[in-house]
Amino acid sequence: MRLIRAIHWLRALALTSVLAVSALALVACGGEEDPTANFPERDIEWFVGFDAGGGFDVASRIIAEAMSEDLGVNVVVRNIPGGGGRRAVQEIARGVPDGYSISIVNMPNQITAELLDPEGIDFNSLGWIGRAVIQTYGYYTAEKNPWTSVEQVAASTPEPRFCLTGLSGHSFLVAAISTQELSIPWHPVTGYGAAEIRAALLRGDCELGVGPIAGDTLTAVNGPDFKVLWMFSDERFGPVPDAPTITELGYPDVGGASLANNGLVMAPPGTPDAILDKLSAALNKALADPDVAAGIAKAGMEVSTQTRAQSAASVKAMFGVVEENIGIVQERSKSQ
Amino acid sequence: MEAFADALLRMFEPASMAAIFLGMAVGVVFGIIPGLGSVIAMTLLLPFTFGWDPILAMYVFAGIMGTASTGGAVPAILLNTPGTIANVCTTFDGYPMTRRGEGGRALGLAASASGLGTLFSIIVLAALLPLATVMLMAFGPPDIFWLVILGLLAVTFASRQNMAKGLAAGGVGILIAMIGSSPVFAKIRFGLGAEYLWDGIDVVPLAVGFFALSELIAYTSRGGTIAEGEASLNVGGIRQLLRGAVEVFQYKGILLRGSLIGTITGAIPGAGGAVANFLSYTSAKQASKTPELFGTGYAGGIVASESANDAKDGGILLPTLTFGIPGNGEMVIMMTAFILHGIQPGRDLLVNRTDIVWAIILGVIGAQVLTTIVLLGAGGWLAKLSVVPVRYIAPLVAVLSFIGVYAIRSNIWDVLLAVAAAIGGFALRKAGFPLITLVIGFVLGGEAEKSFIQSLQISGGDYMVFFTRPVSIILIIVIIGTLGWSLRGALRANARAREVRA
Repeated sequence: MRLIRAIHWLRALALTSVLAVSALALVACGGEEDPTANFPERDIEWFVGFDAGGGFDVASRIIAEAMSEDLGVNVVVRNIPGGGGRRAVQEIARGVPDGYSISIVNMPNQITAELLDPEGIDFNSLGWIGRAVIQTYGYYTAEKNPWTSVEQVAASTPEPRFCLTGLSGHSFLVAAISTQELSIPWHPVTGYGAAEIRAALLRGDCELGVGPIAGDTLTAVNGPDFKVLWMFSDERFGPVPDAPTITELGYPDVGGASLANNGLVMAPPGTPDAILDKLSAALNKALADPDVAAGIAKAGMEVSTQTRAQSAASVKAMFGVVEENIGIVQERSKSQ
Repeated sequence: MEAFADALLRMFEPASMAAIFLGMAVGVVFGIIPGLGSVIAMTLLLPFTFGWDPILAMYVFAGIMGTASTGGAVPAILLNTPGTIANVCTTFDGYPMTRRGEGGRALGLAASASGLGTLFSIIVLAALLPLATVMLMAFGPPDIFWLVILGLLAVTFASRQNMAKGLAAGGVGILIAMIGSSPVFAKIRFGLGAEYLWDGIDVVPLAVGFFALSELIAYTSRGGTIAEGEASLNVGGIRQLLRGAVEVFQYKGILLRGSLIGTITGAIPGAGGAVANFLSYTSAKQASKTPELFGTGYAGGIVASESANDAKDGGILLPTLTFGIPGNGEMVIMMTAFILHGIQPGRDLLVNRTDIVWAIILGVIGAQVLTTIVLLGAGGWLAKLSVVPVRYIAPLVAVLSFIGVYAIRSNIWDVLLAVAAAIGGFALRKAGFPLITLVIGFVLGGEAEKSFIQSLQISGGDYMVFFTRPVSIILIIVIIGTLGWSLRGALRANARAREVRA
């Protein structure tokens, strides 16, 4: 009898404990009702998929400093170069969705990489925060080359050669798509560092360069040795107002601004909306700071802000442009 | 000249001296830690200089670039662990000297050869600024191809005892260089499906594993202290240091050649301090009447190595200042600093901002002089490291090496690669394969492939592109001459051996 009572007592105790623990858990959960409310509580890591010192890196450092002030925690820039920026994308794609790791990403080129060699990354599922910077691309050449129109370049003999860093990356993407659309022969010379291309143009290794007309390239084309042939933008590009747009030269269908390089900022899939909103607000507030904009402009990029929805929509639109051209891109990335 | 005088006066202002000192201190520390170097030091400081007077920022950056490779000589000499890849050849003679108890003398030699190398190259820079166009136009991909071939030939001279093993190691180095994306085609080779191999093997973890970590295995298994027996009683001391510092002048020929090679190699985009270091060491050995002394703790070896890796500073500034074409990682950061401070490299800089040009030139010289003084001052104390039991040194060097390797791109696989290279390197050393030729093959192999394919892309597949440019022809003649010279030496040695046998 005593035994039975003891068992009853124990059962009661167990039941009470379970109830107590559950209640405690509920209370605890209640305390964490909104885990995003106190975000951020510690430092945020901002990945850059490229080496330190490049355009996106410099822009990231300027923006991160301003965001740190606003959020009250450090936004720490961390370079994780690899695979032309892909390593950073992968880190984010499989990252913890808590808002403490975010990354700037070069678009649409990461979409190209994904289409050419799928790693199973669903870009639409990533948490898009906004747009940090944009780089407008153009063709440039040595001053001594006499061309003023697309037709002159295309018909030039011997065939004009294209100096490129490699058969991947945004410059390659722009070169591959635009030469096809403009009927310019495809004669690449590859393997140059971005800055070496200017030496190669002067030396006559090649006749054409393509890239963001920014930073040291902007300085060079404003100097006596180089000139811009045309810009892929919808309107004349402020820093080189004398250079025509590709639309003005009679090729409105080539892509214009859709060939720009976008520095979008993203967080891992599944990051709560409330956190993304906070990050987006902090990013856009930093970008609205005239000092930040000036620093970014000095480094040769433009501030062009987007809301979260706009960024997500532009990623979808970029898919369209890249998918349309993926055939020629693929063919040319294999050719030489 | 007026601008120079102004700049000189400005340099002695307290703020300027503080900036140079800051650059020097950061450069030396980052140079000493294996794996870290000037590029990462400059990158870390870049954001802090945003709001500064541009001249002060230039002093800091010039200070760092001028001193990192001098700092890197310290662990190379004392611990057989090059602080930067450009100090590899310093280990060949510096470390044997340390083991003999002459670490202080070796540091003195390195400090003074570095200082003189920098001075030489900066003078050449100032003289050559007007001729920069010629230099830039002269070296196209076909010329770089021949230059690299000349460097690869050096593999045979660098393999000190066993040429066959040296060549084999060099070949393995070239193969390792082929891993990852092709430099010209969008194709990944030997990728094994691993994301880590996309960008190929990075030289820093490889070199740190080979030279720093495998050395740790070697001296931990030996135990004791680095300088042994009698030698350990007589280490360092200011007299030894000064002896080394003054002794440099006995090697005027080596010093001059090293400085010249450093300056020229520096001016060629992509070549850099490591190549300058190899070329200078091997050419000094080749030209020497006593080549057998190289690698045994010979003062001339340190002079050859350290004068070249510092002389590259003057050369490398040439294309950056004149065309805004950065030749290496340091210069990429320097360009970024220019842009952030609203300075436009190129003709505008040379004509209208001579204050900046002089600030950089004087900053490099000032920092180098400071480093030389600091090294001479602290050298005796540093040299005492060689009598500290290695069981205390090894963990410290290991930790610093791992930090250095990881810091570069925050990739834990780099650390694992360094460990693998350490074990592989230790095994190769035990089997008598010279690691240096492997690394030369690695560094130059990729460059050779790239410049070869670029040349053919430029010419549309016509091989004559390699034989028609003036610089190429000069280099081909030098290559043939070098081959003939060493063949003659080998034949003579053979004849002598036969005489002895007869």
